[in-house]
Amino acid sequence: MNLDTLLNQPVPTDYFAPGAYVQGDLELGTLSNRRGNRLLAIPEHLVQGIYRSLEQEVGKATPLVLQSCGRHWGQHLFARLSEELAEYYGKPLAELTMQELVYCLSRCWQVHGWGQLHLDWSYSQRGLILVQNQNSPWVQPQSGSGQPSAYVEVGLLEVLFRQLTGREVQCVQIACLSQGQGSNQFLIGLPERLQPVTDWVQSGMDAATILQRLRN
Amino acid sequence: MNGTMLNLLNTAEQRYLEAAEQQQLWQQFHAMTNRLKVYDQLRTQEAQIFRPVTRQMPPVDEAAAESALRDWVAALRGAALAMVLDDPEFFDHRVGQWLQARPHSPLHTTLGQLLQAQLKTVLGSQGWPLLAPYWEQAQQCLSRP
Repeated sequence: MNLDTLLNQPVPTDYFAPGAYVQGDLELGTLSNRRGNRLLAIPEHLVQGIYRSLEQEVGKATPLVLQSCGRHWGQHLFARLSEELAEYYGKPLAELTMQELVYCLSRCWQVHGWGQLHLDWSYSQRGLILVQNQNSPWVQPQSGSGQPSAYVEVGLLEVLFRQLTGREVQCVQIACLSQGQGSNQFLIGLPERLQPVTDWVQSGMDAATILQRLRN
Repeated sequence: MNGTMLNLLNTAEQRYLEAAEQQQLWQQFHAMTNRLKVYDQLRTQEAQIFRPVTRQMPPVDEAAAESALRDWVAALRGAALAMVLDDPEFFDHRVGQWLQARPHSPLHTTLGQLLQAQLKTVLGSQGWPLLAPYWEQAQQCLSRP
Protein backbone atom coordinates (compact mmCIF):
# COMPACT_ATOMS: atom_id res chain seq x y z
CA MET A 1 0.00 0.00 0.00
CA ASN A 2 1.37 3.37 -0.98
CA LEU A 3 0.33 6.03 1.52
CA ASP A 4 1.22 8.95 -0.73
CA THR A 5 -0.94 7.56 -3.53
CA LEU A 6 -3.84 7.16 -1.11
CA LEU A 7 -3.50 10.67 0.25
CA ASN A 8 -3.13 12.27 -3.16
CA GLN A 9 -6.47 11.09 -4.41
CA PRO A 10 -10.05 11.87 -3.49
CA VAL A 11 -11.47 9.42 -0.98
CA PRO A 12 -15.13 9.04 -1.95
CA THR A 13 -17.65 8.56 0.81
CA ASP A 14 -21.39 9.06 0.55
CA TYR A 15 -22.54 9.82 -3.01
CA PHE A 16 -26.08 10.47 -1.85
CA ALA A 17 -25.18 12.72 1.11
CA PRO A 18 -28.22 15.03 1.04
CA GLY A 19 -26.50 18.44 1.16
CA ALA A 20 -24.11 17.52 -1.63
CA TYR A 21 -26.40 15.41 -3.78
CA VAL A 22 -29.46 17.63 -4.24
CA GLN A 23 -28.80 20.98 -5.82
CA GLY A 24 -31.12 23.64 -7.12
CA ASP A 25 -30.95 26.36 -9.73
CA LEU A 26 -33.52 28.99 -8.85
CA GLU A 27 -32.97 30.93 -12.07
CA LEU A 28 -33.74 27.91 -14.20
CA GLY A 29 -36.36 26.67 -11.76
CA THR A 30 -34.78 23.22 -11.68
CA LEU A 31 -33.43 20.73 -9.21
CA SER A 32 -30.58 18.46 -10.14
CA ASN A 33 -28.26 15.96 -8.55
CA ARG A 34 -24.57 16.55 -8.00
CA ARG A 35 -23.79 15.33 -11.53
CA GLY A 36 -26.28 17.73 -13.09
CA ASN A 37 -28.97 15.16 -13.86
CA ARG A 38 -32.39 16.62 -13.33
CA LEU A 39 -34.51 15.74 -10.30
CA LEU A 40 -38.20 16.42 -9.83
CA ALA A 41 -40.16 16.90 -6.66
CA ILE A 42 -43.49 15.25 -7.45
CA PRO A 43 -46.35 16.11 -5.11
CA GLU A 44 -48.02 13.18 -3.39
CA HIS A 45 -51.36 14.38 -4.73
CA LEU A 46 -50.12 13.97 -8.30
CA VAL A 47 -49.21 10.35 -7.61
CA GLN A 48 -52.63 9.75 -6.13
CA GLY A 49 -54.24 11.60 -9.06
CA ILE A 50 -52.42 9.33 -11.52
CA TYR A 51 -53.63 6.25 -9.66
CA ARG A 52 -57.23 7.46 -9.53
CA SER A 53 -57.23 8.48 -13.20
CA LEU A 54 -55.78 5.15 -14.26
CA GLU A 55 -58.46 3.33 -12.27
CA GLN A 56 -61.12 5.36 -14.08
CA GLU A 57 -59.59 5.10 -17.55
CA VAL A 58 -58.12 1.62 -17.72
CA GLY A 59 -59.68 -0.12 -14.70
CA LYS A 60 -58.35 -3.64 -14.21
CA ALA A 61 -55.32 -2.95 -16.38
CA THR A 62 -54.06 -0.41 -13.83
CA PRO A 63 -51.65 -2.80 -12.05
CA LEU A 64 -50.09 -3.81 -15.37
CA VAL A 65 -49.70 -0.20 -16.49
CA LEU A 66 -48.13 0.82 -13.19
CA GLN A 67 -45.77 -2.16 -13.14
CA SER A 68 -44.74 -1.32 -16.67
CA CYS A 69 -44.04 2.28 -15.58
CA GLY A 70 -41.93 0.91 -12.73
CA ARG A 71 -39.96 -1.30 -15.11
CA HIS A 72 -39.16 1.62 -17.42
CA TRP A 73 -38.09 3.64 -14.42
CA GLY A 74 -35.99 0.73 -13.11
CA GLN A 75 -34.08 0.45 -16.38
CA HIS A 76 -33.23 4.13 -16.38
CA LEU A 77 -32.46 4.16 -12.68
CA PHE A 78 -30.02 1.29 -13.09
CA ALA A 79 -28.31 2.99 -16.02
CA ARG A 80 -28.05 6.20 -14.06
CA LEU A 81 -26.78 4.50 -10.92
CA SER A 82 -24.20 2.53 -12.90
CA GLU A 83 -22.86 5.65 -14.54
CA GLU A 84 -22.95 7.98 -11.57
CA LEU A 85 -21.64 5.56 -8.94
CA ALA A 86 -18.87 4.31 -11.25
CA GLU A 87 -17.74 7.87 -11.83
CA TYR A 88 -17.90 8.84 -8.16
CA TYR A 89 -16.29 5.71 -6.70
CA GLY A 90 -13.81 5.30 -9.56
CA LYS A 91 -14.78 1.71 -10.30
CA PRO A 92 -17.56 -0.11 -12.15
CA LEU A 93 -20.76 -0.81 -10.25
CA ALA A 94 -19.96 -4.54 -10.31
CA GLU A 95 -16.80 -3.87 -8.29
CA LEU A 96 -18.56 -2.10 -5.44
CA THR A 97 -18.70 -4.32 -2.37
CA MET A 98 -22.14 -5.65 -1.45
CA GLN A 99 -22.06 -3.43 1.62
CA GLU A 100 -21.30 -0.34 -0.49
CA LEU A 101 -24.01 -1.19 -2.99
CA VAL A 102 -26.67 -1.81 -0.35
CA TYR A 103 -25.72 1.40 1.44
CA CYS A 104 -25.95 3.38 -1.81
CA LEU A 105 -29.35 1.92 -2.65
CA SER A 106 -30.82 2.73 0.75
CA ARG A 107 -29.37 6.25 0.68
CA CYS A 108 -30.63 6.72 -2.87
CA TRP A 109 -34.15 5.91 -1.68
CA GLN A 110 -33.80 8.17 1.37
CA VAL A 111 -32.48 11.21 -0.42
CA HIS A 112 -35.10 11.08 -3.18
CA GLY A 113 -37.94 10.70 -0.69
CA TRP A 114 -38.82 7.18 -1.88
CA GLY A 115 -38.78 5.78 1.67
CA GLN A 116 -36.50 3.80 3.96
CA LEU A 117 -35.26 0.80 1.99
CA HIS A 118 -34.01 -2.23 3.87
CA LEU A 119 -32.64 -5.41 2.30
CA ASP A 120 -32.90 -8.62 4.32
CA TRP A 121 -30.73 -11.54 3.23
CA SER A 122 -32.00 -14.02 5.81
CA TYR A 123 -34.11 -15.82 3.17
CA SER A 124 -31.18 -16.32 0.82
CA GLN A 125 -31.15 -20.07 1.53
CA ARG A 126 -34.58 -20.16 -0.08
CA GLY A 127 -33.12 -18.17 -2.99
CA LEU A 128 -35.07 -15.06 -1.99
CA ILE A 129 -34.28 -11.50 -0.95
CA LEU A 130 -36.73 -9.67 1.29
CA VAL A 131 -36.96 -5.96 0.49
CA GLN A 132 -38.80 -3.68 2.90
CA ASN A 133 -39.64 -0.06 2.26
CA GLN A 134 -41.11 2.18 4.93
CA ASN A 135 -42.83 5.41 3.92
CA SER A 136 -43.11 4.46 0.29
CA PRO A 137 -44.93 7.09 -1.80
CA TRP A 138 -46.02 4.51 -4.39
CA VAL A 139 -49.09 3.16 -2.65
CA GLN A 140 -52.68 3.50 -3.75
CA PRO A 141 -54.47 4.91 -0.73
CA GLN A 142 -57.55 2.74 -1.14
CA SER A 143 -56.94 0.06 -3.68
CA GLY A 144 -60.01 -1.78 -2.38
CA SER A 145 -58.71 -5.12 -3.61
CA GLY A 146 -57.21 -6.23 -0.30
CA GLN A 147 -54.13 -7.17 -2.31
CA PRO A 148 -50.79 -5.30 -2.08
CA SER A 149 -50.86 -2.37 -4.47
CA ALA A 150 -47.40 -0.79 -4.81
CA TYR A 151 -47.27 -1.83 -8.45
CA VAL A 152 -44.75 0.82 -9.52
CA GLU A 153 -42.37 -0.40 -6.86
CA VAL A 154 -42.83 -4.04 -7.89
CA GLY A 155 -41.82 -3.20 -11.47
CA LEU A 156 -38.97 -0.99 -10.34
CA LEU A 157 -37.44 -3.52 -7.94
CA GLU A 158 -37.88 -6.38 -10.39
CA VAL A 159 -35.92 -4.65 -13.13
CA LEU A 160 -33.35 -3.20 -10.77
CA PHE A 161 -32.55 -6.59 -9.27
CA ARG A 162 -32.52 -8.22 -12.70
CA GLN A 163 -29.86 -5.77 -13.74
CA LEU A 164 -27.94 -6.10 -10.49
CA THR A 165 -27.98 -9.89 -10.35
CA GLY A 166 -27.90 -10.64 -14.08
CA ARG A 167 -30.71 -13.18 -13.48
CA GLU A 168 -34.34 -13.14 -14.61
CA VAL A 169 -35.67 -12.62 -11.10
CA GLN A 170 -39.23 -11.64 -10.33
CA CYS A 171 -40.70 -9.54 -7.56
CA VAL A 172 -43.83 -10.21 -5.52
CA GLN A 173 -45.24 -7.81 -2.99
CA ILE A 174 -46.29 -9.54 0.22
CA ALA A 175 -47.27 -6.59 2.44
CA CYS A 176 -48.49 -3.11 1.72
CA LEU A 177 -48.92 0.17 3.53
CA SER A 178 -52.41 0.32 2.02
CA GLN A 179 -53.27 -2.82 4.02
CA GLY A 180 -52.28 -1.09 7.23
CA GLN A 181 -48.84 -2.76 7.37
CA GLY A 182 -45.83 -0.75 8.62
CA SER A 183 -43.98 -1.08 5.35
CA ASN A 184 -44.19 -2.37 1.81
CA GLN A 185 -42.52 -5.76 1.66
CA PHE A 186 -41.36 -7.59 -1.42
CA LEU A 187 -39.74 -10.94 -2.09
CA ILE A 188 -37.39 -11.19 -5.04
CA GLY A 189 -36.15 -14.41 -6.57
CA LEU A 190 -36.19 -16.70 -9.58
CA PRO A 191 -39.73 -17.57 -10.81
CA GLU A 192 -39.60 -21.20 -9.64
CA ARG A 193 -38.55 -20.11 -6.14
CA LEU A 194 -41.16 -17.39 -6.02
CA GLN A 195 -44.16 -19.35 -7.36
CA PRO A 196 -45.39 -20.60 -3.94
CA VAL A 197 -45.17 -17.04 -2.59
CA THR A 198 -47.26 -15.72 -5.49
CA ASP A 199 -49.90 -18.39 -4.76
CA TRP A 200 -49.91 -17.56 -1.05
CA VAL A 201 -50.35 -13.83 -1.71
CA GLN A 202 -53.20 -14.49 -4.14
CA SER A 203 -54.92 -16.66 -1.54
CA GLY A 204 -54.81 -13.69 0.83
CA MET A 205 -52.10 -14.95 3.16
CA ASP A 206 -50.46 -12.22 5.24
CA ALA A 207 -46.75 -11.40 5.15
CA ALA A 208 -45.97 -12.71 8.64
CA THR A 209 -47.37 -16.14 7.76
CA ILE A 210 -45.55 -16.19 4.42
CA LEU A 211 -42.23 -15.35 6.03
CA GLN A 212 -42.84 -17.89 8.78
CA ARG A 213 -43.46 -20.59 6.18
CA LEU A 214 -40.25 -19.65 4.40
CA ARG A 215 -38.29 -19.88 7.63
CA ASN A 216 -39.55 -23.42 8.36
CA MET B 1 -23.47 26.08 8.32
CA ASN B 2 -23.97 25.65 12.03
CA GLY B 3 -27.24 26.29 13.84
CA THR B 4 -26.16 29.59 15.44
CA MET B 5 -25.17 31.15 12.12
CA LEU B 6 -28.28 29.87 10.39
CA ASN B 7 -30.53 31.26 13.12
CA LEU B 8 -28.81 34.64 12.91
CA LEU B 9 -29.17 34.81 9.15
CA ASN B 10 -32.81 33.77 9.35
CA THR B 11 -33.36 36.48 11.96
CA ALA B 12 -31.86 39.01 9.56
CA GLU B 13 -34.34 38.14 6.84
CA GLN B 14 -36.77 40.91 7.69
CA ARG B 15 -34.75 43.35 9.80
CA TYR B 16 -31.19 44.45 10.54
CA LEU B 17 -29.30 42.46 13.14
CA GLU B 18 -28.96 44.25 16.45
CA ALA B 19 -25.56 45.03 17.96
CA ALA B 20 -25.54 41.97 20.23
CA GLU B 21 -26.49 39.75 17.30
CA GLN B 22 -23.79 41.29 15.13
CA GLN B 23 -21.34 40.61 17.95
CA GLN B 24 -22.34 36.93 17.79
CA LEU B 25 -21.61 36.97 14.07
CA TRP B 26 -18.18 38.51 14.65
CA GLN B 27 -17.43 35.80 17.19
CA GLN B 28 -18.44 33.18 14.66
CA PHE B 29 -16.16 34.71 12.00
CA HIS B 30 -13.19 34.97 14.36
CA ALA B 31 -13.68 31.41 15.54
CA MET B 32 -13.92 30.25 11.93
CA THR B 33 -10.60 31.93 11.11
CA ASN B 34 -8.94 29.92 13.87
CA ARG B 35 -10.61 26.75 12.75
CA LEU B 36 -9.53 27.36 9.16
CA LYS B 37 -5.91 27.57 10.34
CA VAL B 38 -6.24 24.15 11.96
CA TYR B 39 -7.92 22.87 8.79
CA ASP B 40 -4.99 24.05 6.72
CA GLN B 41 -2.59 22.42 9.15
CA LEU B 42 -4.43 19.13 8.71
CA ARG B 43 -4.40 19.53 4.93
CA THR B 44 -0.73 20.39 4.59
CA GLN B 45 0.45 17.88 7.20
CA GLU B 46 -1.79 14.97 6.25
CA ALA B 47 1.15 12.77 5.28
CA GLN B 48 3.05 13.68 8.45
CA ILE B 49 0.01 12.68 10.48
CA PHE B 50 -0.56 9.36 8.74
CA ARG B 51 3.00 8.20 8.03
CA PRO B 52 4.05 7.45 11.65
CA VAL B 53 0.70 5.73 12.15
CA THR B 54 1.23 3.37 9.22
CA ARG B 55 4.69 2.53 10.58
CA GLN B 56 3.18 1.53 13.92
CA MET B 57 0.34 -0.48 12.42
CA PRO B 58 0.26 -4.15 13.42
CA PRO B 59 1.10 -6.56 10.57
CA VAL B 60 -2.17 -7.30 8.79
CA ASP B 61 -3.46 -8.19 5.37
CA GLU B 62 -2.66 -5.34 2.98
CA ALA B 63 -6.21 -4.97 1.65
CA ALA B 64 -7.60 -4.75 5.21
CA ALA B 65 -4.97 -2.18 6.14
CA GLU B 66 -5.71 -0.07 3.10
CA SER B 67 -9.44 -0.24 3.67
CA ALA B 68 -9.18 0.83 7.33
CA LEU B 69 -6.69 3.55 6.48
CA ARG B 70 -8.92 4.84 3.69
CA ASP B 71 -11.83 5.03 6.14
CA TRP B 72 -9.74 7.08 8.57
CA VAL B 73 -8.54 9.41 5.82
CA ALA B 74 -12.18 10.04 4.89
CA ALA B 75 -13.12 10.44 8.56
CA LEU B 76 -10.41 12.97 9.26
CA ARG B 77 -11.16 14.97 6.11
CA GLY B 78 -14.84 15.02 7.04
CA ALA B 79 -14.11 15.94 10.65
CA ALA B 80 -11.82 18.75 9.50
CA LEU B 81 -14.52 20.28 7.31
CA ALA B 82 -17.20 19.88 9.97
CA MET B 83 -14.82 21.65 12.36
CA VAL B 84 -14.47 24.61 9.99
CA LEU B 85 -18.24 24.88 9.74
CA ASP B 86 -18.63 24.10 13.45
CA ASP B 87 -21.42 21.78 12.45
CA PRO B 88 -21.71 18.26 13.90
CA GLU B 89 -24.68 17.52 11.64
CA PHE B 90 -22.54 18.21 8.60
CA PHE B 91 -20.18 15.43 9.67
CA ASP B 92 -23.04 13.04 10.33
CA HIS B 93 -24.77 13.68 6.99
CA ARG B 94 -21.68 13.82 4.77
CA VAL B 95 -19.50 11.03 6.14
CA GLY B 96 -20.78 9.80 9.51
CA GLN B 97 -23.51 7.55 8.20
CA TRP B 98 -21.25 6.18 5.48
CA LEU B 99 -18.53 5.37 8.01
CA GLN B 100 -20.98 3.67 10.33
CA ALA B 101 -22.02 1.38 7.51
CA ARG B 102 -18.42 0.33 6.76
CA PRO B 103 -17.38 -3.19 7.75
CA HIS B 104 -15.69 -2.76 11.10
CA SER B 105 -12.37 -4.37 12.04
CA PRO B 106 -10.27 -4.19 15.21
CA LEU B 107 -7.73 -2.37 13.06
CA HIS B 108 -10.06 0.63 12.95
CA THR B 109 -9.80 0.96 16.72
CA THR B 110 -6.03 0.56 16.74
CA LEU B 111 -5.61 3.11 13.96
CA GLY B 112 -7.96 5.51 15.72
CA GLN B 113 -5.86 5.42 18.88
CA LEU B 114 -2.60 5.88 16.98
CA LEU B 115 -4.06 8.73 14.94
CA GLN B 116 -5.45 10.52 17.95
CA ALA B 117 -2.03 10.54 19.62
CA GLN B 118 -0.46 11.84 16.43
CA LEU B 119 -3.12 14.53 15.97
CA LYS B 120 -2.59 15.81 19.49
CA THR B 121 1.13 16.10 18.80
CA VAL B 122 0.75 17.81 15.43
CA LEU B 123 -2.06 20.22 16.37
CA GLY B 124 -0.80 21.01 19.86
CA SER B 125 -2.78 22.37 22.77
CA GLN B 126 -4.25 25.23 20.69
CA GLY B 127 -5.45 23.30 17.67
CA TRP B 128 -6.44 19.90 19.07
CA PRO B 129 -9.38 21.14 21.20
CA LEU B 130 -10.96 22.65 18.07
CA LEU B 131 -10.86 19.34 16.23
CA ALA B 132 -11.56 17.12 19.25
CA PRO B 133 -15.41 17.15 19.21
CA TYR B 134 -15.48 16.21 15.53
CA TRP B 135 -12.74 13.64 15.98
CA GLU B 136 -14.90 12.14 18.72
CA GLN B 137 -17.76 11.83 16.19
CA ALA B 138 -15.42 10.01 13.83
CA GLN B 139 -14.26 7.71 16.63
CA GLN B 140 -17.85 6.82 17.47
CA CYS B 141 -18.42 5.83 13.86
CA LEU B 142 -15.28 3.78 13.33
CA SER B 143 -13.96 2.62 16.71
CA ARG B 144 -16.90 0.51 17.67
CA PRO B 145 -16.40 -2.26 20.24
